[in-house]
Amino acid sequence: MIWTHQQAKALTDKVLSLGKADEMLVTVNGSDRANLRFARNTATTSGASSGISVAVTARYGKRAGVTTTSEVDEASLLKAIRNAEEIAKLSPENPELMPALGPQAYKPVKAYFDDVANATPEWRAASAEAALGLSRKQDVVSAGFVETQAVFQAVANSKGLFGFDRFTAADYNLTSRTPDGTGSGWAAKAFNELRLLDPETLAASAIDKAARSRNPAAIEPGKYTVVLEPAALGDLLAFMMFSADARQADEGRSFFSKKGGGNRIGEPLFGDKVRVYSDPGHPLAPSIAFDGQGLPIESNIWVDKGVLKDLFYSRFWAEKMGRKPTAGPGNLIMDGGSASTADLIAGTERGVLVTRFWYIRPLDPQTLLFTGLTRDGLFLIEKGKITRPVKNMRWNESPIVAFNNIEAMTAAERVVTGEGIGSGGLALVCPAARVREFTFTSASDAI
Amino acid sequence: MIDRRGFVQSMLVLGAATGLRPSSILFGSPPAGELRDLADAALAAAKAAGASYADIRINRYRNQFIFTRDRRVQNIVNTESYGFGVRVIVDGTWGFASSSNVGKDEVASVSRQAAAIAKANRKLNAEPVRLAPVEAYNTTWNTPVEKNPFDMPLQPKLDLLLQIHEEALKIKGASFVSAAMQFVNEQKYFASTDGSHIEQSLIRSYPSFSVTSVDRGTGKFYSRAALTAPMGMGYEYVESYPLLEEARVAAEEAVAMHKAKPAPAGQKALILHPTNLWLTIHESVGHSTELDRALGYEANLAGTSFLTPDKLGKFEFGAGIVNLVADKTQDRAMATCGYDDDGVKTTRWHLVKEGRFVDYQTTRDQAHLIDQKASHGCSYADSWSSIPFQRMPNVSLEPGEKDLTERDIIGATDDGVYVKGDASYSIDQQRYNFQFSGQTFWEVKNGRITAQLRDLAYQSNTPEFWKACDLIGGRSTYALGGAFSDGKGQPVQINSVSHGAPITRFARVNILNTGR
Repeated sequence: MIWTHQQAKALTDKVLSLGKADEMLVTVNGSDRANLRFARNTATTSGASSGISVAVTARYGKRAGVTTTSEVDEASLLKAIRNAEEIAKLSPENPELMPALGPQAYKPVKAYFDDVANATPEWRAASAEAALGLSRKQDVVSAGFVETQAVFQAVANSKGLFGFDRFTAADYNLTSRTPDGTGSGWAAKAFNELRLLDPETLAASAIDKAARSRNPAAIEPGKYTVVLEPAALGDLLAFMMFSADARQADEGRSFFSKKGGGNRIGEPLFGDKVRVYSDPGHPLAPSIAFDGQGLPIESNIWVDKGVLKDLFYSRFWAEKMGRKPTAGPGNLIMDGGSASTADLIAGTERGVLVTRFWYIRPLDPQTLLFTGLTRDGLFLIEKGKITRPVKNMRWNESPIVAFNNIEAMTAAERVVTGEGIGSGGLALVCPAARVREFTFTSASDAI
Repeated sequence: MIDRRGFVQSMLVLGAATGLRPSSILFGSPPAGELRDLADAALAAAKAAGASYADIRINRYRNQFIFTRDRRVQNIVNTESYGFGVRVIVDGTWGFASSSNVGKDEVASVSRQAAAIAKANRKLNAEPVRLAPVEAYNTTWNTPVEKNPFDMPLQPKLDLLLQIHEEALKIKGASFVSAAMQFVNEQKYFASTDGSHIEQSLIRSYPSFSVTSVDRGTGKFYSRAALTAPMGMGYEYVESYPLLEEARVAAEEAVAMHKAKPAPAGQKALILHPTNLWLTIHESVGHSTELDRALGYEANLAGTSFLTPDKLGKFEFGAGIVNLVADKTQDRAMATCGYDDDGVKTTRWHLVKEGRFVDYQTTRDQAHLIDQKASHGCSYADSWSSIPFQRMPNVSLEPGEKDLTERDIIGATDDGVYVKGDASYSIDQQRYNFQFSGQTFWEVKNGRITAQLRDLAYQSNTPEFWKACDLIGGRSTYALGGAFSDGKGQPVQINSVSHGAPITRFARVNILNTGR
């Protein structure tokens, strides 16, 4: 359900007028989503969903209660409001509760495109057929997913704050496997704008990888130079940033903690080519203008010339530590370089080309050590040339180590990672990179 | 104190006054006829639009989250979501649509939308849907709970969570505590063109906490999470679990981690407590026996499975003492219900019997793919807005016939490690190579626990691992663990599922030291 600015304001005005607590906050989120799944070279399930959700926060001083509802008739709203007020009254004081923000100035960007909002079941079917037709011709079996969604978000409070914004997202991803079960390839992309999505090219890429990855040979565990395609580097970037909370660092329980107290902002933790920032207006990854409290999402630099510049600060922790609070972010951008993927491969004496990662989980938060696997195309590089496909490997490695070992990068592009990070909620832009001494620890028989 | 009865009464009055009926009346108290009218309208519209089969779910979901940290109540959130979803088969092709706007006109229009989606995909569909037969049921089923957590007052919940903080922080070296409770209630109404009308109310409860010990001098920190499991139980679970005692033990163990012996690397006997083994079962058995994975339907995200249909009835999955059972009727387990989202009555069956792989998890539209005549009842959608598909039932390791205790198993081990609680977990896309860690680790030498260990992970390959199983504990060591939010599908859906296991030993497994 996509509402207009007026419809959203009418609802938030009504909720605020019905509320009795000292402070009221209301958010409204609505979406229209539609998708098509295919597998075994056929369409499998397909659906559409239209929904709305209203979250009401009631506060009495430092006591708060939150309820949500998907029903927007007056009786249901009243029930949710009274329920939130009851909870707030029963709640003990939370000294960390921050007062509601006053009216804010937002700088919305164009993140909503009609071509996605108006995408039809016929378009989705045709985009799937692009992959299925090519798969049948090339004798591979493909499975994939295409989704188009339009989302709006509104926030308002009893101090006069109001915000309304919308975005669209179109996702296309597929996995192609050879009939003998020894080869598998994958490709994925997401954009806010439908015309940027190219199902034919994505399908061709996945199918090509499937063919080239057939009958892989085993390699020994050990440290390897890896050429990480953007989807793989994107996972390392995202998992590292998910751990970059200021409070956790200041409390001494994060990799970003400084021994003896405080955090590591200002320290050169990465190679000097590393620059990571957020910018809601980035043309490849436009995102919405405010968060659930109405705090504006602004541009921010996280890492510059390898130096840690900032961590994520909640409003409470920012005030306590005398720093700027950081909202969102809606996207993460890592600057790249000027090499091409071919250059990265050509500059590899011995290493492997990685299409994507899979099943990444934290192993040791102390050292930001993660474990994960490779998937859908791992290729040996010898003397600057891809020589043969190799079997998938498990790795235990830290993004910090990887980002210190970057030798060269391509230009950055919009990315969806193997873990599915980069569509809808958090957009990602990052390059491919050659990284030395990446630790593969055991072999996997999985194709 | 919230007086729920009074609250509901006042809402009914409000509803009558404004002429609008709060939908909370539609469940439990009559008239269930309201739901039937909506269902009839949907199913009629679907049939008129060309559907050979249709079903509708009109569901309400309630969640309560209470989150506390460092002696503060941070968040109390009550969520509610209400809507309906319609599935149709038109000309052998599935279509689905849903909406949060529950009303007669909307159910009819959304049913037509589902049919239009099915028709748009007909050209692409090479496999006409074939449904295994099902009986029609006109009935209700509710999770048997003693205390509905949504009827319990808030204050005692907050008091208990804050007491956990106090207990843990009494221990010198314990620096931070977080504690939470989460409760879920799914109220489901299912109706189908097969003639079923099924109402169910499912409840799940999950108290949890984590204690962190920071040593500012060394800069090291260690955490130890509670060994509680999310359960298909009511508030009686929170009241009966020894949370305060465990908070103390957790704090002591977190602090002790600083001085614990670094884990040995190499092949060792591995003893797993059910609080750890549940997750290994989930990843290596629960997921590998999903039929849709094995046939390639989930290849694009979750992956496939090394357990291909040619292995059915033949493949030696594990040692002869290993019996792994799927069960959607198991008491206190989270995937337990009366009927799945295809309207199939739930049941219990073997996946691995005496070490051999014998069956899969299936839904109505999958059964025929392995020449089975009936569905095992594994269909589930996590919301009115999502499409039902095959989800994991509770999958458990049967206890051994002899009632071997923890002491018996440790006593029989010369050189091993013992792992409790779950932490890191990772497995490949065909369910072979996996690596897990845990909450606490113990060295076992010559039949005794000799030291606490730290920085340990174990890595293996599924069939090798289960073939190495050489000692299974008895019924007295059996306990349920579980995952509140298992993810699968595109768009991703979550599923809550329990896994029971006794204390179990695996003869030789690769142990890693993860310290750097």
